[in-house]
Amino acid sequence: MAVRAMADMRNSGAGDGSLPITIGSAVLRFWDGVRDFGAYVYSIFQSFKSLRFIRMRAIYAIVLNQTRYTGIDALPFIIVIAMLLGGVVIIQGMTNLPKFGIEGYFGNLLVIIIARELGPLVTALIVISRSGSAMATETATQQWSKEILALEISGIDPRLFIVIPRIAATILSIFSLIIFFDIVAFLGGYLISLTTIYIPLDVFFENLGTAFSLKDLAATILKSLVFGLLIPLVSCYYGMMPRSKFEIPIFVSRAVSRTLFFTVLLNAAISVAFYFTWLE
Amino acid sequence: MAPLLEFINVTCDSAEPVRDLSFAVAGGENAVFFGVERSGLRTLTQLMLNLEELYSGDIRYRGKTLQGLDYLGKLRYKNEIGYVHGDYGLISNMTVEQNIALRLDYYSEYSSGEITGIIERLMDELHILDKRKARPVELTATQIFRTAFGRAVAHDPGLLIVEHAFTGLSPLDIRSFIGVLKRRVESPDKSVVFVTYEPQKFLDFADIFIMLYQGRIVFSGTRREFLESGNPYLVQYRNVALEGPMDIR
Repeated sequence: MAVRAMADMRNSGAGDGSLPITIGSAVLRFWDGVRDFGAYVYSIFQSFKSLRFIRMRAIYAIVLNQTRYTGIDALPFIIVIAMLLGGVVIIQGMTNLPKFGIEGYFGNLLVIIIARELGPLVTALIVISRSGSAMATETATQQWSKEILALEISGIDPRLFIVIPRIAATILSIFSLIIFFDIVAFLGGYLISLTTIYIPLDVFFENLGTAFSLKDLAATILKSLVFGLLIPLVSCYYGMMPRSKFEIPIFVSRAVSRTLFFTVLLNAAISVAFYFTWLE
Repeated sequence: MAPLLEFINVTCDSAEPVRDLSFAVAGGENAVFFGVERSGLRTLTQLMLNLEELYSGDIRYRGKTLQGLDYLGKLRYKNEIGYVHGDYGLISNMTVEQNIALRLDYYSEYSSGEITGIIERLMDELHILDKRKARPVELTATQIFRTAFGRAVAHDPGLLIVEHAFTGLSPLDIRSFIGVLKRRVESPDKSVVFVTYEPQKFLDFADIFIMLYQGRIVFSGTRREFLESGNPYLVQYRNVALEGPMDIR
């Protein structure tokens, strides 16, 4: 009976019952969502079956276009943000570390804050705000205007045509943008910091070089793979949901907020897996 | 020889149910399906397009059943037929040229040069060559329909399904398009199925006329029978009368 009541509430969207029922229906709604998302991911894997029958030229153009928008067009934005953030971190580090007598760890601090955390996370946030929202809106509009249905009727799997090229383009773009972010943050930050404090260039890069390890590179590659997969996957998932014009902003907002949440969550999970000493 | 498309006692309980539909369209034959709103036309189209999979009875294309097709089987079937809707279908971020070439680019063995040749001939025939670089938002309703038609026939399908064609088009624009349509319906081995509320517009093209009401076939006949039959459903429809066996509210 309780399950039935929860299912009824789930369907009606009511939430003013007793606490156990409210919690139960929320859990069931969450479970439904997980199952539906699982089925969506499975359908994407299934769409690989048709890969051998299609000509890559049709997909190639979409990958190229998406890479231009997600990667190249985002570069000016990434450069400015990286330069400012890099400058702030370097100024804070150089003015505060000596107070604790640990200025020798300056390079480590930069690698920890910029390369390991800020670079991947800020890049992902910029890509979500620019491209994730654009992908969700574009897919939602295509869904509403029946363009996705038209693709399906033409024997073209929309998942293969819409989602997979965007995943490839986003992985490629995020990885390149993270590298750009790190380089600009270090270099630009160094230049900005010169206005406040002088550090010899060779000392600066020697510090960085000693602190940077292969593990950092591996973590960056993994993060760009995970974010590059997550952002288009979740954006297109919610983008394919609207059945009316009215629902488009609802699902676009859901796409952006959920992608943000899972990006921060996965970023923390990867950092814990790579850098928590007791896990090593 | 097996018909191109065959429905055998097909029943489907969708939002617009159909009951016990049986008909056959032979290769080279053209059919018009018509009826009032909610008569089952929508479900019929979805069944023909293999978008509706929960049904009893059998639907056969070139003698092969569509029931239980696997993932690739469904894609192959959809790639063999052509579909054009009077109201939607173009990909908005693609140009006219890219929209028409979509299927050929995606599936065909043709080289890019060969595809360009095919597409140029089609655009020329459809009088939209000057719009090749335009996106759907820059087109008129007629140009959108012509582009959608071009995309539907670019891969030369055996069966073309045209649903609610000419919706919102001016009579003169329709007339200028008729010639293109005629060439298509006169191909001896190709069939066109029209789903429409206005069967009289297709008198020159169709060999068989089938009328649906409440999900059942209430009339099926030739062009001549369509014009002369005393079938009460048909008479009410032809005369656009509110009185008759069909309850129109």
